[in-house]
Amino acid sequence: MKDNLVLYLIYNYSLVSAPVYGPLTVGPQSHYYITDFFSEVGEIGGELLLQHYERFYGRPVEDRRRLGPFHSVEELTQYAALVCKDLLSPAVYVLSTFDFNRSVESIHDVRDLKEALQKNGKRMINEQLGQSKSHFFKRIFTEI
Amino acid sequence: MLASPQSITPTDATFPGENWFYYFKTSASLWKSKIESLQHNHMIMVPIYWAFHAENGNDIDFGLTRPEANLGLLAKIVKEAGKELIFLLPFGPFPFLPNGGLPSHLARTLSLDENHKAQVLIDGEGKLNKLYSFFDPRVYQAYRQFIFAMASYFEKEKIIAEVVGTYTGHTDGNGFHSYMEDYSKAFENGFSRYLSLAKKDKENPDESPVGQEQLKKFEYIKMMEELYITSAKEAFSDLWSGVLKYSFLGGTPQDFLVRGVQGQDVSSRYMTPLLETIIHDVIPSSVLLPGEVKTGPLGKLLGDLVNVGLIEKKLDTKIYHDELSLSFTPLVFFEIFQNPLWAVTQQRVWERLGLLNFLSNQYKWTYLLKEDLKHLDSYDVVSEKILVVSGHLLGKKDFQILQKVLMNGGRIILDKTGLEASLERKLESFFLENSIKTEKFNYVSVVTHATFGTGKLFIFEGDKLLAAPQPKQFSFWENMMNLFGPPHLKVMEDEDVCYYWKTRGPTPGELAYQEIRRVCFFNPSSYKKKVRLTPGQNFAFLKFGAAVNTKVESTSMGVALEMLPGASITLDFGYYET
Repeated sequence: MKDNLVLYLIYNYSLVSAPVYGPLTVGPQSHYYITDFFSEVGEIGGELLLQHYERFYGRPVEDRRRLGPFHSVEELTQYAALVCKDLLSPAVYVLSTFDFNRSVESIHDVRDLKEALQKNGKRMINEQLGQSKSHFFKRIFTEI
Repeated sequence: MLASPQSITPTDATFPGENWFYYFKTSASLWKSKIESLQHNHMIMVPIYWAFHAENGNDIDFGLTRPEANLGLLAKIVKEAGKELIFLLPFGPFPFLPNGGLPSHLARTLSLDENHKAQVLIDGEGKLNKLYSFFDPRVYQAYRQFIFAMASYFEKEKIIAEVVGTYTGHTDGNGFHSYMEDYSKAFENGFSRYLSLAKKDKENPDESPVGQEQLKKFEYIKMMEELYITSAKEAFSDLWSGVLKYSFLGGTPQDFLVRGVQGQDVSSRYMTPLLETIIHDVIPSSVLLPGEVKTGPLGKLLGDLVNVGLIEKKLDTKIYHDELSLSFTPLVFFEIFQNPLWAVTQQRVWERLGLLNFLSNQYKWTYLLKEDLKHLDSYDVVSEKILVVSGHLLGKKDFQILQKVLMNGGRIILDKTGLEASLERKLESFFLENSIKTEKFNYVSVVTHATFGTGKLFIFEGDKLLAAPQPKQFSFWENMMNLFGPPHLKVMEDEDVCYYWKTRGPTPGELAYQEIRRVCFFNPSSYKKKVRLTPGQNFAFLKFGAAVNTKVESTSMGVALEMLPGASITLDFGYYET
C-alpha cells in the first residue's frame, strides 16, 4: 500500500441473519456489515480484512463473505482506523450506504466521485504518519 | 465469426464490442459505411435505446423527426450489406446507457442493489450511468406502450430481423446478479401490493414461516421479469427469437468503485469474471470497457468465448446440447443445481460443503451452476453431465426426474440432508423394486453408492460434511471423484495464469479418439509464468496452436509451458477409451 493512498469504507445495516440450513430469521443478531473497503489501487485484500477483524473482536467473522458483524458504527469506525494504521494510509473515509447514495446522486461525471465520497464520508486521519516515535502512544486517530 | 475486439477500431464508439452497433451514436448517413466496414462479421447486434425513441413520453419516434431513430433504414442497410440483424430489446436496465436506457421522465427512483447501494456503472467512454427502478408501474405501462408501438412500426415497415429479449447483469464469485433486481422504494411499494394480493388469494395462502420474505421478494422479481418478457413476446410474436442473458464485464458495484476512484482500468482484472460467465451459463459483454483494455489476453479470450456459435446456441437449446458437434464448445462435466435464494441468503451450500473449492482446483471452469426455483425442470435427462443436487430442495417431481436420469445411465450426486422422509422411503423402495445394487461406506459421512447399468448415484450426508474441516472436505470430494468423476487432465499453473477447456467430437481423421479436448492458456500478468500438464491415462497430446510468446516442451513427464507476459497458447488432446 502506498502511503499517500486514502481508504474508503462503505457499510450497511443488515436485518437478516442467515443460518446454513433452515429458515432466515430477523432478530438480535442483525448488525452492521462492511460492503466495500477499497483504495485508489483497488479493493483491500479479503484475507487481510478478515485477520484484522479477528484481531479486533478476538473471534473470526461469522461468514467469510460478509465482513462483520459490527455492533455499532463506533466499533466499525475503530476497525477502519486499525486497518488504516496498519496499511500506513493517511486517512480512511467511512460512509454508510445512505452517504454513498447521496454522493452518487449528487454527481454527473465520474471524475467527481472521489470528491463526493470524501465530502459525504466521515474522515479518520492516521495521525501516526509522519510523527516521531515519541508520539507513538498518543492518540492515533482523530475524528474530523 | 464475431469480430474480436482487435478487429474494430478501439476508439469507435459505435462498435463497443462483440459486434454490437450503437446506431444512436452516429449519423444515419454513416450507418452504411460503418456496417460495410465489418467485413468479416455476418451478425450485427443492435441494442434498442428506449429513451432515444421516446424521450418526452408523448411521441414515439422511429425516424419521423430524427433519421437516427429510423430502424427500418438500419434494417435495410444491414440486409444490403448481406448481414444478419438482431435487435436486443431490454428487460430491465441497459447498463451501457444513461439512466439504464429509460426516458428521463421515467427515471424517478434510483435502483438499489442487495446492499441498498445505488446501482451505478461506468461505460466504455468513462461516462456515469445511473440505473433506475423498473418496478415503478409507470415504467411498465410506458414500456408496453413503447414495444407495441415498435412492433407495429416493424410490421408497417415490413422489417425482417430477429428480436431478442435481453437480460442484463453481472457475475461475481457469488453468481449472476440481474440489473433488474432492485431494493428501492419503488420495488418495496410494488412488493407490498404483491404480498397483500397473495394473502387475499385463497389458493395461494401465505404459509411461509418468519423470514420467508426473501423468497417472496425473489418470486416477485421473477414475476415482474416474466411480465416484461410476456409483453415483448406478445408484441413481436413472429419476430421473437428468444432471450439472451448478458453479463457485463466491469459492471459490478466493486468495479464501479475501483474504476471510479482509480480513474484507470487494467485488463487482468476482468479475466476471471470473463471465465466465470462459463459456469453461470451467460454471455459475456465487454461494452462497458474502454477499447484499450480489451487488448492482449483479454481481447483474445473475449474473441474466443464470444462468437456467433455461442449466440446461436443460446437461442436454440437443441444445438447447444449437441455435444457431438465438430466445433469446440466449453467443456462441462457437472450441472450443479442450487436454489437461487442461496445467493441472497448467504447459504451457498455447495460452497460450504467444499465442492466448489474442489472443482475450481481439479475441474476448473468445467461446471455449470444452475439456479432455478423449479429446480430440475431444465435438466436434460439424457445429458452426460453429472447432476449435482441437494435433497433439501427436492420435490416429488424432481425426484421422478432423478429416477429417470439414473435409469438412462446418468450420474447423480445427491446430498440427502433435508430430503423429506417420504422421499427417502421412496428411494429405498425404488432400489428394491428395480434390484439396484447399493453399497455403503463411511467416510466423513455415510455414503451410499448405487449403480444401475451405467447409471450411478452417490448419496451423502451434507450436514456431516459441513462440520468437517476444509482439508477433510477436499479429500472427501477427491475420493468421491476417484470413484465417480470424469477423466480429466491435471493442470498445475503459476498464479495469474488463466485457462479453460473446450471439447468437440472427432473428425474422420481422428476416429482413434472419442473426444478432442482443447485447453487455452493465457498469461495476463507482467511476469513470466510456468504451466505443467501431467500425462493422463487415456489422453494423447496431439498438437499446440495459436502460440504467442510461449515455449512448449513435451516429455514423458507431460507438457510444460513457459509463458512470457501477455502470452497465450492452445493445446489439443485426444481422449480414448481402452
